[in-house]
Amino acid sequence: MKRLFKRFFAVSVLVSSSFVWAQPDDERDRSLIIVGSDTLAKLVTAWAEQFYVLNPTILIEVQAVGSAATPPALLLGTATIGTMSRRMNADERGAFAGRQQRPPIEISLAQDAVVLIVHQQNSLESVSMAEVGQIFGMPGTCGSSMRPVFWRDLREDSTLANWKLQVFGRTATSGTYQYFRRVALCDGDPGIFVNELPGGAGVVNTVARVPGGIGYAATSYTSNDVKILGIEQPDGRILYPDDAEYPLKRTLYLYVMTDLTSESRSIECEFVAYVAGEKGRDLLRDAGFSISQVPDAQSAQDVADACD
Amino acid sequence: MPVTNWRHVKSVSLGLLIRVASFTVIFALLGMVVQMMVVAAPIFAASTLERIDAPDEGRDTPVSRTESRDADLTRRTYWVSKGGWQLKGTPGNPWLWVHDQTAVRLNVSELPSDFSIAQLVGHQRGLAVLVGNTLEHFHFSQPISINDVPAVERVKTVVMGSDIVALAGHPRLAVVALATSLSEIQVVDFRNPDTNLRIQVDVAIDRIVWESPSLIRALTSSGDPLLFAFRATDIGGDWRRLLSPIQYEGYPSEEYLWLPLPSAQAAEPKFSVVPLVFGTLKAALLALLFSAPLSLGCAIYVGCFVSEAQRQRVRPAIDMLTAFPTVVLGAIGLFWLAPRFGEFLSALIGIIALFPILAGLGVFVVRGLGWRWVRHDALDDWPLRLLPLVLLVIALGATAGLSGAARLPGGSLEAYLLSTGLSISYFNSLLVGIVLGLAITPTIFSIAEEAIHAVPRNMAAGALALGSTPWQSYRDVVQPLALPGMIAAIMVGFGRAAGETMILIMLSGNTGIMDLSIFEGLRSVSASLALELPEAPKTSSHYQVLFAMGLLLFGLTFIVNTVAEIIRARVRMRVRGL
Repeated sequence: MKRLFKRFFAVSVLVSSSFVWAQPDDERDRSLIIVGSDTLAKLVTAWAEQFYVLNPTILIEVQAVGSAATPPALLLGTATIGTMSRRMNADERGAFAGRQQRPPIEISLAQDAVVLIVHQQNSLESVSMAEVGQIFGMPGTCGSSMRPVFWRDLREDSTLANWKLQVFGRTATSGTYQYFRRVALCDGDPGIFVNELPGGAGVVNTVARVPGGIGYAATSYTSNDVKILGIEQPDGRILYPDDAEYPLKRTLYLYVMTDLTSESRSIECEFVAYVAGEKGRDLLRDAGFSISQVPDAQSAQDVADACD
Repeated sequence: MPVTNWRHVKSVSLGLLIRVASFTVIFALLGMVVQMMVVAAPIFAASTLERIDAPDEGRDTPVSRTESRDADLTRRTYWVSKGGWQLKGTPGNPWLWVHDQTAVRLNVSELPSDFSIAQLVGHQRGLAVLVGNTLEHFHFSQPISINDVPAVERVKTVVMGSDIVALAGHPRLAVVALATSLSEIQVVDFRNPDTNLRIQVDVAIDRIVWESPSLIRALTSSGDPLLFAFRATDIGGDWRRLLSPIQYEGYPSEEYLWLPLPSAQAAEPKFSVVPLVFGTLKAALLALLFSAPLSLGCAIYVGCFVSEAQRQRVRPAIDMLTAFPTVVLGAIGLFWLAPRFGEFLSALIGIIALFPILAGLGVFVVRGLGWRWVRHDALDDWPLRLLPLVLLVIALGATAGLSGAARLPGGSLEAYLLSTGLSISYFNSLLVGIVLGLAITPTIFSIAEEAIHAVPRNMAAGALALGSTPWQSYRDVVQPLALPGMIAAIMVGFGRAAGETMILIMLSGNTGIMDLSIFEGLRSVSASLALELPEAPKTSSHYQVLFAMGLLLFGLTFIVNTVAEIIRARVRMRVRGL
């Protein structure tokens, strides 16, 4: 019995240790895994569907967890294409160097804006960036102080004067959150009172239901149920997301792990060529994004050309 | 040839299989706990400083010099920025001032008159100033009114033993590296006064620079640089920073903050687990408040008053609810309950207020009419026959609550509360408590009912025979024996509520505030784990703290459940003896 017990012990330890040191395996065979931003989820899914119709032999999987999921997935090889609604930061880039790996190819994909939204009943039409910092940040963000608690604190004549401000934002995994924090909150601390919701659609739907609500989301999520706020500039102009100088415009990125020098054309290359092509661009425009070009990143077309 | 006893073989092999399975489960669990401990342990490690020969390639990203700290060296003006504000100082001058990027607004801070700045270094939110042999740590502090300039506040003073020849501020944290005239390299951590890191070198040091957050380069007069590796967690080797209020740079007072800040390169992460533990306990207690009367009442009724045939029908039905996925409950809460929470609350208040009166009246009327289908000597057949009455009473109570709310000034409960200055957040603790309470009700019911039913029926029957009413026999005979089991049931329910994740992610709003109000949101440990673990880098303090919190949650539910199980086992023993 004692020997039996010992044997079981050994087996159990082996089994439990396999739990502890389990590693993800990276088997890939004519399959394409795309991870990344929730903002781009709808577009990437549409692309993947059409790409699959064009290339039925390739298995495509799309995961939209948030931009922060892209660098580790590319690093571990669990995905070869990633989307991000912000640029990879130095830490994330550094991780590739640390693993003696080539960093992924960076493609600037499209441009969209982060918009501030309120309930339809709200009389508020526009806010200044300083007020945005006050509403969404901890006291002291962007040099502001005193968070407005009621809408009357922000505008004396508000239709919702007695309502409390209920602030809705995204969780820290989201690229929209990190972009918003860097640009609108001067890289300061986001308020702990902000309701963190896992998706952009959640923010829009919730603000549509809560009279005292205010939130931010990517343009592609907005609906007619919410009011989009303009942003007051110091010179008195009020800018809307369609204006070129709208301060919360951002570039969305595609990160591709592939070897451009190899002789055979990789699946990743084919996908990028598809994205750069007419059909890909049509879907991009349909999703409400504009095709953009930032000076220090390649466009999809550049990479597609380099593949050949 | 002996005949094989197949029955024996079967029983032995089955026994083997069961043992293997149970050992596997136990060791897998142990393995996971050990793994979590291994991951979480580095967070408690003390800071270290050691001399190295060459930097570890790729281990750390170099400091980005975009903030023109070097350019400021030539101007001899040092500054740190916080949002739109800058804190500035110039060596030789006895003052620090705050500067606005758009308008020049001076706010000379109050310093001693003999305060002459020898040297100063800044990180993102604070400034370390050297005055003679003393290091002073300053930071911004939030003003009271909106048009004021942030004040400059002296947080900490460290008196050095010897003259300081070189000084450098950590790019991110309130940490300063310095070289003394005694050829000593020293790291002062303003976050943790117990840190005492020093290394004696034999050469004189001219200048000191932070190459990266973990690498210090000291330039000697001979020209050969010396390298030092500085390792510190984001809590500075002081576990108390997880639990006690901290005066963070840029904050006017000591606060509990959970702001792990995965993206910002320049700010200090804030890891106070207190708001999250508070949120978890708040949600679990509210859930119990809602669930305990409901489930215990139900358990007492089913366990003690209904016939065995009725019990056989009711119990499995409620047991099956235990397996109801909480994400579905969360979705119901999100899409149905949250949008009409004010109405739901007014109806609930109406039901709670009127139920005893209306139900009593109903029973009185039914009995007074002498309807034969309600016998008052036995309660056995009541549940189904009384259902129409109960539903009617609930409907009446809800209607009364709703119409009462409509008659309030403002037309609804929310509007009335608004006029009194009380606002209900869309995602609030009460909503979480109600839905979470529903989720744990079947669990509590199941265990409590089991405890009540385990009390031998002949004891209650004896009491009945001696002339006590059914309620008296329950109160004086059954309850004293079943009470520990009922407490155990509540504890198991609490453990389940504390570990529940999906309902909290969907309904709590995930706001890390510590507010006792039931109309404000909360952030629980479990929701934080689910939301933040996927994006926390594997070697970061954030990841380690999350694992430490996971262990905390595991420990809490493990202890509560174990104690509950011990109580249950004891009750079973005691009842068996009767």
